[in-house]
Amino acid sequence: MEFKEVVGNRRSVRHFLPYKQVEREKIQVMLEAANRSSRSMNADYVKAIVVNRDELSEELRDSLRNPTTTLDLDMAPTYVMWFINLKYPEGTKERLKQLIDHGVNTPSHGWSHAYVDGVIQKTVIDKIAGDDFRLNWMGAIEAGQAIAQALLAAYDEGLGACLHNFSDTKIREALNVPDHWRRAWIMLVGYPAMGVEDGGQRPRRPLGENFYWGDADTPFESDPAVVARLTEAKLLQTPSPTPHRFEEIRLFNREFGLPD
Amino acid sequence: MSNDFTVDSLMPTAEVQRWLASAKLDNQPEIEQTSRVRLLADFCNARGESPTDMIARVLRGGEEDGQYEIAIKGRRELDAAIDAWGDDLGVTLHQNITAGNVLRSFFIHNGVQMQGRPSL
Repeated sequence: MEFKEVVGNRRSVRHFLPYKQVEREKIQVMLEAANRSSRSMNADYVKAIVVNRDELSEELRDSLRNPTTTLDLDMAPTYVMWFINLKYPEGTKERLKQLIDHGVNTPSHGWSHAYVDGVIQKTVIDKIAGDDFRLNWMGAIEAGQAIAQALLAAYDEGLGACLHNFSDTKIREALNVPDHWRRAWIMLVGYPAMGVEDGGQRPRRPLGENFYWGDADTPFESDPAVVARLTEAKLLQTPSPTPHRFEEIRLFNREFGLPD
Repeated sequence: MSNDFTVDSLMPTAEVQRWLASAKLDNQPEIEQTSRVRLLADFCNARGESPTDMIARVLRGGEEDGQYEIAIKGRRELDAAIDAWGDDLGVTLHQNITAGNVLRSFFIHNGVQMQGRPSL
């Protein structure tokens, strides 16, 4: 699938085929995509544990629930629990020197082993590691990039997914989650019950409401020719609600006895 | 235990009308509406409590600005009571669960956020 179509296909899927298992190889593709994400200091910001729904005890599955993440845990066959690794600054000097040795960080941009060995610890690493807000802020941004790549990879593999909050009080002990892994999201993965279209692309505000050119007072102007090209490439798709969306939902609800 | 609640007594109430309209059941055949309201009446009779009172125990405040807070414990108890009531109906598991979810639908459309229990 072309990149633009993958981006266009992504939407938060909440209606899964509960009986259709996700192939392990597709999960590996998602994790490889996460592992290729952009990351400052070449650090490992994200950790993830993959479990299949049916391999968790009922008690543990129940322990993940919160008021807005309940039904989805029953429907999605695979869970990816994402965590922010708050020890990501560790090993930074070695990784940066490796990037110098690989010709990634170069002298033209100010990089040298001497800088890494003698300056960067106090100037950069200690300031991040010693400031809880900065540590979490940077960790969340960088982990988010990895999670987003895994999400797109899921759609490229024909899957659907949705990110949710979850309760991790019991699962941490059960799955031996270290204390320095901070809960991020749980990604519920499966095959969309209502197809790739899943009711159409969700509403978004026009570009100019959030993006600007030159200064923050000048909204970015959308070029209709680009819109046409992106529509052709399926990055822009039929907006929600698609025709018969509510009939689809009603039939799905009827099949599983869910509330209308 | 009270037996005061019937389809006729509940149907005109604001909560039931809000439910039927919000769930777009008001344009469904009459039996689709009355059968659901009958389940609600049965639940109310089993608990001896009106729908209004049950909602009020979960949604607090709202007198001044129409904004409510959800009582977490109250909602959890209500959710468990729905499951228990459905499980006691003595029909098939799918029908038990579906009946419970009909009640959840009533509460959801009246602002009590809860999620359905699927029949798998």
